[in-house]
Amino acid sequence: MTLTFELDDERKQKIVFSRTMQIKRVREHEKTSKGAIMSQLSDFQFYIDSSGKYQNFDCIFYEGIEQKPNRDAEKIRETFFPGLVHEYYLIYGERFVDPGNSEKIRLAIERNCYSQIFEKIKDNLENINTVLIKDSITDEKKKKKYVELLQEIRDNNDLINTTKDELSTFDINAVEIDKAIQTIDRKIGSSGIEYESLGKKRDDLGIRIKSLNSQIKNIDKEIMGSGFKTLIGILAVNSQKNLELELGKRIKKGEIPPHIKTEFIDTLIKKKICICNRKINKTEKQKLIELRDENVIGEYYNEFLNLNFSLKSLESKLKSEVTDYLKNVQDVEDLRLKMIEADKEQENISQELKSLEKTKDLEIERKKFEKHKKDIEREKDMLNRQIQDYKAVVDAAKINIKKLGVINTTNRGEIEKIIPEIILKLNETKEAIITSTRKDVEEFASQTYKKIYESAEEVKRIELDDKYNVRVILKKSGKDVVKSKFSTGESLVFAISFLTALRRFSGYTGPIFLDSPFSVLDPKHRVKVSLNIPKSIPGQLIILTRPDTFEDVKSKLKEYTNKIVAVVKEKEWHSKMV
Amino acid sequence: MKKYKEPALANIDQKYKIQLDVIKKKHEDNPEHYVNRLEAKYIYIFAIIMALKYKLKPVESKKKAWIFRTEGLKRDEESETIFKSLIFSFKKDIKILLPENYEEYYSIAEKLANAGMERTLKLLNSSDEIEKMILVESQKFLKN
Repeated sequence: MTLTFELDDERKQKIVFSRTMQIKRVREHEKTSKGAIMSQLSDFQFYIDSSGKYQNFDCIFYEGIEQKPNRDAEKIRETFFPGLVHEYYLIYGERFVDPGNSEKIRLAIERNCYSQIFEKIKDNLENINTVLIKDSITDEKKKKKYVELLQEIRDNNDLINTTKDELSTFDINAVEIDKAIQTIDRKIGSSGIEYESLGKKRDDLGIRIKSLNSQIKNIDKEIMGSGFKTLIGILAVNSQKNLELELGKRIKKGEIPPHIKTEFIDTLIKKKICICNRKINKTEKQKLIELRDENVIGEYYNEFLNLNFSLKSLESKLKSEVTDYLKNVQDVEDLRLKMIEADKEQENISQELKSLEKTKDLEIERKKFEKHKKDIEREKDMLNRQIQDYKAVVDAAKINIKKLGVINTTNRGEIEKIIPEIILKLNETKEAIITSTRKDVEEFASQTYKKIYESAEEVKRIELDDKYNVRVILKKSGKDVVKSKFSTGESLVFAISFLTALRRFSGYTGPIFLDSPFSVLDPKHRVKVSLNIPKSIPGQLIILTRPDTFEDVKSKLKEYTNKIVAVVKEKEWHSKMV
Repeated sequence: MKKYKEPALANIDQKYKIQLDVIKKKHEDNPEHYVNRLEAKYIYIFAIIMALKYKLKPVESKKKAWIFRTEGLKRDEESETIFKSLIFSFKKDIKILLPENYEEYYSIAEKLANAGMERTLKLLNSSDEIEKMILVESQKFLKN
């Protein structure tokens, strides 16, 4: 939502409070000495802003169309928003009112019951007292001194108040920081230890994968070398068998080794005679030649015998080679499977570690918060010391006034008695009003919460103790159960209930803006809550919502809906009202 | 007994030598690739096996190029035995293994290697194919 205020002065100033909707003020607001009065919705008109700059509820200050350097956003909000509106009547989703921030709740309640008015009255009474005393002093020198001392007291009291305001801001921040640290601690939880053990597991797996890889590589090398040779052996088996058979035949025939020397046969052929000295004929000669040729093989009988041995050895080795090869292949396959599993496991662990790495970020964030907390504590110490100093000055001034002897003037004796009594009564009244407002807010918020929240039957009441801690009391199996942790949806419902109660007791009647209240609720709760909100919240309600979350509840809200305004996005940063 | 001189080099058609070099170059970054891990004599024997297995016609080299030293074969008894059995299987005459037939012996080897080299190179280009073949043939062998 963007709230844009255009000021009809010469400088044509414009202030844009950025969210996602634009509103223009059509009626001049009246400023009182205490701030602006509560505005009505009719004071505003929706319009399209195309300034193009949207931040999370930040103030952009314009003169004409020129954006001016960022002025103090808080001051601008204080000036242009009615005090309670800017602080408590705009809900930014579920995060606006945090049921866990007791300091914020305290301020909301105390401001709503105008408790500061009592301080003003007390100041005024003090002033009356002062004036009376001053008027009764006849000695000019004493009067001057008295006025100076009074001024000193006033100045220091102002300083004390300002410092206390600062302190309370620091208190709010300190609570927020404590909560943030607690949330981080919860998130970190045991994940630190888990991170360490997973890290070790990943390292071990890394070593295992490395070892598996090297095993696979070694066996692969062996497979590659032996595999091809084995293949050659397998494919040559038949040829080897043929040769072995041939050699076997020859050995059987006695050709290897030869029965007779080739040179001797040669001599017989040359001399053309037989061993018996008979002449040989042509046919016999031919036979001798054939015998000699056959015998040549026998001449190399050593080689052929070796060849035969080698063939037999190859045959016997081949089977074991093939078996070994297949075993190696199987081993590699198994190792690969193991490696895939280890890889997968490592990947899973890495993923887990990655998610746990957020722990590291959380720890860094935690340290930052702790540092910030220490800074705040230092600041608070410093402010407390300052307050003590201011108080010491005030006390000293009061003693000096007493020393002046001006207070004992007889004609103001009654007043001197009455005023402190009135102040005492005022303090008591202030406390009583705060307490009763707290009780009223507690009661009304409790009722509203029960009306709106889906599990209302379980909710007995909302409790706000004197330290402004919020607890939801549930009734379970006849027993009271304290619920101090809120889901996002519960926080939202609490926020709505709380501000509705605040508005009721503040006396203001302005509309309530709910920015995207449905998006944090699941569809089941969305319908019920959406139906209960208009029933439970009196007065005008302006709900800003996205179409997707609105569709579920549109029909349910129909009877409560006066007007639906659609904002359609035309292009980046440009929307139009339909 | 007459001494016969064995040829010092085993030859192949030059085109296959070039193709083999191309494959080696292609896989030079991968020392674990078959083509880089196998000695030339194994590739040569494998080519002869391919020629015999698929009954391919022996091919004369258009231009000879030496592929390995025969001495390397002689030093490796197992390979030499297989080599001899393959040539005998083709020639079907045991005399081809005699020293006097060295020339013919290596000539047959060269022609058979030329015939089977095309398939061999194709296989060498793909490690997966070789592995598949080894696995299939191994399992077949064990079954028989």
